[in-house]
Amino acid sequence: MKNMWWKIAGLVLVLYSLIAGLLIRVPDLPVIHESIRNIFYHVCMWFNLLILLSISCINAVRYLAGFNEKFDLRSVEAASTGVFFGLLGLVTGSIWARFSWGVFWTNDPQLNGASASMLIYGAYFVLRKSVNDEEKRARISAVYNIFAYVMMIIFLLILPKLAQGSVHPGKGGNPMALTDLDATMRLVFYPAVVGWIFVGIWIYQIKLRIRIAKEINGL
Amino acid sequence: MENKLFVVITVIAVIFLGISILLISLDCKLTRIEKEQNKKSE
Repeated sequence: MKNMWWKIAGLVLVLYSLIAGLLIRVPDLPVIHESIRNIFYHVCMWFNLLILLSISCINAVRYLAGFNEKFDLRSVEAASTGVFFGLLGLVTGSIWARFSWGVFWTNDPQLNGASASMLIYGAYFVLRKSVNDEEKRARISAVYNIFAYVMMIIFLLILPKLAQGSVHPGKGGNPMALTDLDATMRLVFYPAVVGWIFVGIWIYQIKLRIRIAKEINGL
Repeated sequence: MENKLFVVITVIAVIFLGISILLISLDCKLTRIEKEQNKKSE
């Protein structure tokens, strides 16, 4: 394996967070109680999404700067891996909502913003499929990718903070902003974030290498 | 309750280890293919 250490580190950290996340003592906060443990899994998915979609956007800009096909491949594979983690974030969030609020989905700015972001990126893949000419497809989708990234930042990070009446933990004065984590939870949360980011980037790399092997080397 | 928790943890750990083995084997396979491709192109 190429540059093995960070891949193994990622796997070990995620395995540690999966096990320790269920075993450690957690503070009994109102509304969320024991379900607070989901922070070790749910929040990491969104960190991964942000990093992978940033990689995708950067590569879209690099493609437009020189029209090199490899940046288009990097951009689309980072986007698909990022959206995969976004969908996992929606699923883990929905399960968390069921145990905290009694429903899988509620009309909350954070939840609606997250799903709107996923739909915008869903349209990115539809757009790619709808253009047959390779160069045209790469150019149009690179431009759309930049638009989708900006919209994702607005829907996911800016609008939920401005909106009033959010019931999402850490938003609108609700408990459990990341700064409220106690020392024991930090011992699991930070390794979980680092581990999932390593694993996310590794999955992206594998997908990209498979794509390059198929498209450029004709395998 | 304690026993149930350990069963859940074991199941999750086994699934994750399976995914880990899949990722490692895919990575090794790709490295081998890339090496062969590089040799051919040289």
